[in-house]
Amino acid sequence: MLLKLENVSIQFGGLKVIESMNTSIAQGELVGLIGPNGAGKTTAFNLISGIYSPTQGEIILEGRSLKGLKAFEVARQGVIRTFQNIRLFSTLSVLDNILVSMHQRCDYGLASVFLKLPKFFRAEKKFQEEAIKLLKLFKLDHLKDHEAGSLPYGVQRKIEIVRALAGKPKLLLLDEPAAGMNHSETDELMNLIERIRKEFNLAILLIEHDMKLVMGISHRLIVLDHGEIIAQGTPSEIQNNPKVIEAYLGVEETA
Amino acid sequence: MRSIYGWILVIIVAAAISFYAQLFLNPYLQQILLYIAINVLLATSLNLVNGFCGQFSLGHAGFMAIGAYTSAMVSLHFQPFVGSLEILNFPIYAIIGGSASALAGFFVGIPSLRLRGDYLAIVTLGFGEIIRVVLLNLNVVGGARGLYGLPGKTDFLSCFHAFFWAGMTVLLLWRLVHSSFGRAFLSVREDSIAAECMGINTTRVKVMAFVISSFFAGAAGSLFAHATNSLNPASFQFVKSVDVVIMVVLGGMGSITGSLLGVVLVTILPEALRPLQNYTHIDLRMVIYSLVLILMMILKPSGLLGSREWNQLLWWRRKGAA
Repeated sequence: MLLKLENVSIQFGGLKVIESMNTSIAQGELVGLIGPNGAGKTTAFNLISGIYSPTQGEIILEGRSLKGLKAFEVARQGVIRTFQNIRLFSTLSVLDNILVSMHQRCDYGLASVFLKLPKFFRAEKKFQEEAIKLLKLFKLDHLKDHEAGSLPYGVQRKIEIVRALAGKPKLLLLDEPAAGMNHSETDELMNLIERIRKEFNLAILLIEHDMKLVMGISHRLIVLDHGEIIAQGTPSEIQNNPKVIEAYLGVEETA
Repeated sequence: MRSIYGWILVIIVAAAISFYAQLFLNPYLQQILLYIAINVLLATSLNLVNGFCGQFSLGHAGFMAIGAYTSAMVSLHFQPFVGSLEILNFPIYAIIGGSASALAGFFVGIPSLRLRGDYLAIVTLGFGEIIRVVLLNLNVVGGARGLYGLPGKTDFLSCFHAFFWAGMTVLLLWRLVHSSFGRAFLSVREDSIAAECMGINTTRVKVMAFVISSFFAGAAGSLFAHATNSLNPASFQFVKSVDVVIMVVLGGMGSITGSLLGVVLVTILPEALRPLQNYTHIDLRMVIYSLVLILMMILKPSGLLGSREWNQLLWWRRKGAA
């Protein structure tokens, strides 16, 4: 198992947002995380990516606990995320946005910067080439010098994914990657996500509201409601699960 | 080999300015020129923290004071070079002053950089005042009387030394902000949560910027001490920090070129307006100075250059990027 959540709970004051969440994600698996609004999906993301630390339970990546690690340390361990409301470095160029993610692999020190030693040029060249290769994969390389914040919404979402990929994740967390996109854009994005999953042998955890899309792409689904996992399983299992139907549609009141 | 060109440029510029100053300028203008060099160190280094890293510090005068007093005290007791080689003492003093200041920056930075925005501004302001009050009450460094008789001249070599530091500061900071570290600084400014999630150790990055910035502020203090030959705690009041902030904001936060422009304007403007008094018989300088700043904030709040550098100002480059 790549990632394991054991009894993970988080509480803000008296409010239990996530309650004893138990689940796991295998290498190369694409898992969808769904649930009604306010179910705790984004909070789960914040827990896994280290922004919040769980009040109870443990998150284990490749057998090692992530307990007490800060968000940047979790990212360096290989769990990298995107955000529901895009958080690009908006005044930086697209290329620089992606290069920021590579800073963790920066092997030159201040001396190399100040004296412009060959090491500096070698590393910079390598980073740039890698970044452009990633951008080409998403057909965004022609935009590399544009200010990230000035680009259309859909493009920014893709740049966020490229930026996350540049950090060499083992587990990629995508928070509503298709939000605000039209049908053809969404289809294209989903094909791309599937492609990068295979190419980089990534595990992907995906929050998505578009049911048709998430059912089509995911190997497995986790359904959250009121902070608890109410169902886990393959898309077809989930579709027929009465608890899930209840959470989404409610039950008919019997008089 | 590419690394050499920058240094050659720094030496040529520093030498050219110094020659010009010695041949054509009177001592009064030479003094202003020295202040420009010192302010270049202060403004560009403050820009690293305030402009590039997005952390609003108001304590630059404090760091300058630490550098100035450390360097002054060392210079009174330690003169390794004498005679014609005397000038070589001053880089040593500047490095010692800068290092003392960098050390202070490290210890101030670690607790205070957890704060952001106004809170950080208040803490750094408080730090600057503490330093000043401590100096005011320390008899070893002359207390309120200050320190006198510090070594330092205004000859060609001294001028070259000051402008070499100015040029070096610009060169090193330019290289820094155009490296992976520079991108890390900018990412912290733009969105520290996103930066953290991309593996950037934001605390470390902020402390790093703060320490480097303090080093150059300390070196500026050393240059100041030996340019004026005397020191007084009154030179390092809160207003001094604000002056540096004005240079940075006027020129454009996050633009080294902008800081240079800000330095030249803010240093020269009050002096250039001095003759105005002959006509008006009252001192209008501060009125004009503040009007300029108010108009600036209304018309172009991002500063004269915004975050653009000299190479982005050329029209064809701008067109290409737009």
